[in-house]
Amino acid sequence: MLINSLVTAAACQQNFHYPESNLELQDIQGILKSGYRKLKASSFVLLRIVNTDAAAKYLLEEVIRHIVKAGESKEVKILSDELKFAIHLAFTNTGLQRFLPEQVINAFSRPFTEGMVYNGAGAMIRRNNKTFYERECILGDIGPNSRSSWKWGIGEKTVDCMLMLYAEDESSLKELKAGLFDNLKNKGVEEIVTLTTNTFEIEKEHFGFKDGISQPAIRGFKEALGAKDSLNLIYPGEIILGYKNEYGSYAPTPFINECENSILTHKVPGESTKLDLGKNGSYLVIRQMEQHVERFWRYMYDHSIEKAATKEEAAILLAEKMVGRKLDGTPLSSKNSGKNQNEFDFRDDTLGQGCPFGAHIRRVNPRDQTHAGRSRALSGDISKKHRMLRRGRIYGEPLANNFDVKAMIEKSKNATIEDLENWSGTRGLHFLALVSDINRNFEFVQNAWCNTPTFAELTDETDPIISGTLPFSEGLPHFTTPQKLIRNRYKDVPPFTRVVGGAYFFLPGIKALNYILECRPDRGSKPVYSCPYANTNQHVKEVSDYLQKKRIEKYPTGINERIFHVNSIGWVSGTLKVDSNINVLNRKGLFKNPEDTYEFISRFSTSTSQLDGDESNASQTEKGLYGFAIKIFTGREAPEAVQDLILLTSDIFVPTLPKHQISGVKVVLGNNATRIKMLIKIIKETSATKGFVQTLIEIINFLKARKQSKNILTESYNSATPFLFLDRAVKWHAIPSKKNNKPPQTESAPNHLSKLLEASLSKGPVVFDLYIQPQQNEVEQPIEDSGRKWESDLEKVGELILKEFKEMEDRSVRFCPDNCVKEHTPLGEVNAIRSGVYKQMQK
Amino acid sequence: MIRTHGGYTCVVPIKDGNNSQLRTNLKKLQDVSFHQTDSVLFASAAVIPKQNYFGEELPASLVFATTYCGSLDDHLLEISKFCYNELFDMFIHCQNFPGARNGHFAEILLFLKQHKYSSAFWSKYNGITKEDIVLEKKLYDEIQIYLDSEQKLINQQNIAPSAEIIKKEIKNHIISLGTHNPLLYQHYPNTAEKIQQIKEKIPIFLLMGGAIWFTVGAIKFFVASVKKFPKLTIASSLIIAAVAYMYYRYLFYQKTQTAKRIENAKMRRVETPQLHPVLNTMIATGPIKRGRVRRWFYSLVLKVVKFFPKRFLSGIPTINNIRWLVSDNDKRLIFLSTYSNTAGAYVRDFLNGSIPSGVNFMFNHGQGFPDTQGLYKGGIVNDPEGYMQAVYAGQQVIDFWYAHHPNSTSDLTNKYHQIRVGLLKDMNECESTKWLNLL
Repeated sequence: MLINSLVTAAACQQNFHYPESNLELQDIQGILKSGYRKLKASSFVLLRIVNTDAAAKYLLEEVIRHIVKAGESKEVKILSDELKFAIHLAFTNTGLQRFLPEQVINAFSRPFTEGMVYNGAGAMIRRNNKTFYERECILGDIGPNSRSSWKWGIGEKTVDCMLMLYAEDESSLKELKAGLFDNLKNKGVEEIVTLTTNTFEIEKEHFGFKDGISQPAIRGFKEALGAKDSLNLIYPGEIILGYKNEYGSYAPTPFINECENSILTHKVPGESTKLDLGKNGSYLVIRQMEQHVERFWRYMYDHSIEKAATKEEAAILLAEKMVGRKLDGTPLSSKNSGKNQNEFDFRDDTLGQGCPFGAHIRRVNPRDQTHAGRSRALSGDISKKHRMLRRGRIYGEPLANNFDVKAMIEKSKNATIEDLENWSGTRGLHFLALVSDINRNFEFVQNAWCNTPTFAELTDETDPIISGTLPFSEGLPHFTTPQKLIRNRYKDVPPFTRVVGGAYFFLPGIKALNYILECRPDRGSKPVYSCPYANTNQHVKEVSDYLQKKRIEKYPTGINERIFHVNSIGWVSGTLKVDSNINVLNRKGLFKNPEDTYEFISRFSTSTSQLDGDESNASQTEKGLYGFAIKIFTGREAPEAVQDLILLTSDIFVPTLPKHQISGVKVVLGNNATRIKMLIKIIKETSATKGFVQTLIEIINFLKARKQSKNILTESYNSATPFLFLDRAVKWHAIPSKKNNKPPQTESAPNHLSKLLEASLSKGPVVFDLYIQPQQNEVEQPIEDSGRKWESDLEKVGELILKEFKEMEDRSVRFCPDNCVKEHTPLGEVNAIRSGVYKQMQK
Repeated sequence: MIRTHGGYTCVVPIKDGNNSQLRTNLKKLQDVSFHQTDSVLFASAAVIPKQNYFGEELPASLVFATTYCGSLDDHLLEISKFCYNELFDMFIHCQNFPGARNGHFAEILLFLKQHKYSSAFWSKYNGITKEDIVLEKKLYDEIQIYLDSEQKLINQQNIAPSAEIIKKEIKNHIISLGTHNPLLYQHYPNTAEKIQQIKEKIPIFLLMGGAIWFTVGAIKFFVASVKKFPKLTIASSLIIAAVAYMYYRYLFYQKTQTAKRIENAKMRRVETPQLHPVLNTMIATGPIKRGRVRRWFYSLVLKVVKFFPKRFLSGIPTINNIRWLVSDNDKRLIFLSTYSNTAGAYVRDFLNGSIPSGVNFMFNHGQGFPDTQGLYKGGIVNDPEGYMQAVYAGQQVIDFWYAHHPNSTSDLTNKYHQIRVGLLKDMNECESTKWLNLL
């Protein structure tokens, strides 16, 4: 295989050592060091993970080892004869959710955790009678950049991870892809879209300007040693997590709680028990920007009033003013320009007569542009706190050969009105930026500098190249080119680019990458749930051991019996039908398509204080909690083949605190003395944690939930603990439909509930409406406290149509909160303990 | 007319169980009434929750704040009349509010005065009235339209006209319009404003005079004592100084817990309403760190800072106006500001340049703020992310916000003002060129 031979060749090369550097080059992905200019062919393959285990295996065994490290990436440039490709791997929040528990995901920065297109609870804004979402406003994804025209990164085209492939030429890239993506379906991932890029000798973007000039030089890399330009020399912590930044501090970093056998060794600075999952990693922002080249040059040609000999030259001059550089990349404030086109400042252009204040390069990096009485040095320091390492590449054929601008102007002159009005979708830029803080380094620049209409005391102007719209306004932005006496103002400048896709990724360090893929909670060799919570593993062990002891006492023959909810009332098969009017926002996971149907099997049961297990003697005459466990067959491949919903007639799950799970089990299964002792312990400790009043409320709620049912089909059930609904926390509710005929009811008698269930279903299907109850307030509806009853409204998502009664117990069917699809995973430590215990007991 | 900007703030405990109803009322409030006033530049209201001050519960309170132009008495009278219904809907849920809606603004006025809190306040475009802002923006737009029509002609001319001539042409054009004649605008500062400015300085003169008198008296007393009881005086002075220093060390070097990252959901609730494209407002509250002396000291600091607002509170370009105050017997710090850009970007602006030591001085008394060494060292310089978390943790949801000119930053407002003032002045070629560069 090409990959193996090339990797071997690369591995043989002696690593470069940078004595000046404190950077761990062997743990940093090489894309942070090099843009691989010599590897001219590249593709960014956006993937969805369909099978977590298979995907982890694939990425671990076939991808990770090929990732070029920063310690090697210098060779990629110099020794291109030996190393002809580079691979990098990054995950979105949804991708990491497949491997890491929610608590770890929440330790990432908010923009990453929520994603670029988050539209969940609390993110909605009403302006001018229209609805916007938080990130739309921050990033300016409105008007032409509206998500409605995105080709990927949203809805069904949500991305889990990205493979960045670089090769010397197209044929090598093709070979590389063939090697990596052979039989992709069996590897647990599916390709959503491949962002192809173009291979050009000339480093230009589609408007014809030299691109990729303005890059920071990162201290610690060898390339930065010679950098004299203080405006571009930045501390590594601005781009790479785990290092000091321009504030002399560390950017917030994701972490895991300290646990044994972890391959992560660095602690989060200032934290003694947290391991730094972000160390040597970075956040990667990708935005696919379509460029309308005809419109751009036609506008320049038609509207330019800059002083020039010909109309073409005036057009070029205006375009240069908008960009802030000449076509060849020379900055317009060139008096201070050094040999390097990135070494310049604005000290001699304080009036913007060279490079206008609204020009693209001033907005994305104002350098030493003074503002509001700040000195040049301070302004320069501030600009350095908002830098990005750009790794973008263009896609699509240029409008004219070799990006010949005059030819482009000619072509745009001949363009029809349709050509100018419509977006062709044929060419643009895959903007890639690496940052240590998405909010500070990327969103700030996009929002406060590029999209703000009052930047540098301008009026109604935004970045003419990448913004193209005024926030919350129907009007178009203007652009001003200051002149010696009277400025030239260009009114209503149309958008020349638009965003058609994007996502936030996390580009982990090599160790972190291994941790993510190897140390997943459900991998047998690692401690179960060791990382999300410090003590989960211990709780699982305590409960499992006690239950096992009890099981052995009761069933010495070793039969695989239930310990809780031992008494089945009956099994029922049926169909889950997604609601035909399901809210658009709820069309996620299993509920993506209205009227989709899934078969399920369910089990009604009742709790009992007797460790009985013999259905024929099951007591249905006692007061108790009733259970309705549903196993939905999703049609997906394992481990997502089923979705279990374990519902109860109680609004709360007791014991409510993780540490009391063992005490709770002993209350049910222990002798009387143990019961009283444990009850007192639970009440005492819960009171100490939550206060006596809340404890009392919980006790009352629990006691109220214990009742004698007259027909199991008339009860309402809910999950009591929260689950994920793609991007929201919800509780499941199953409530008897009003469409049902009034089911018969009888007084308490042995097995009367089973008999009624059978009798009711014999008359025809019985329908339960399935609702979700979304979390709206994390304080009043906490994930980690299953004792709090949620009060928010229910939203209907489907119907559970119960069809056929099955009398016999199917002992091979086991329910577990963790049997789920990725979009509906269980949340919270109580669920984690339940899942861990269920799994242990099934072994 | 007085053009000085001021910040009025009232903090009132809310009746038990009325928080959510008050929030609902605040969200329904219309800003029309505030818009009709002459004095209100900004108004905001927020419900701050119960907070814990070392076991003592600080009550849930309504914070209602305005930034006004003119005298405070006139301002309160105006809003009591014009915004009677809005204020009534707010205060009806507050403790000690008399109650019945009878249209008598005197009750509201009295209530506003009774619950007024003094704050260290600064506005970045002090002296510019609501009317000025509207007219100066109109003037700017008129000049732009005129220049748009003229720029092609000027560009085509081989010999560029002088800046002085162009400026005169612009002035003549504006005067010819009649409706936007800048010569008709009131000149300022006027006498009333000068008197107001002097009146505002009187307390500081008194304070400084008192301080000088006290210092001179203390020195005299010390010298006399040294002459009479040299050893005793020096020894007791040294002991007092040592004790004072040790107490200072104890008080301002103590280790406290820095705020931890807050949940994403709370961040969203707080930040999402602060996504107006240009101006936004924020409120952050939190209990003060432990110590009666600290509370007393901080309260005194704010009283002094009040008289030198520019020296202490300027230097951050994104500020529009800013205020600090303490409520609940000096146990709760309240910070309010109107600013440009997003909350995160604004809060981060305090970390730049030489400002952090001043920010330490002003903020370090709030719980959750990174510990300083003494009054201004360390703190946010050593732990910038801790400072960000502390501000995020203290931020409250703004339930009502009115801004007279939400789409103009303070710098832009000042620029429009400079343009108008400059248009009226006679300028030479060099000055005219500079003025033209503002356009």
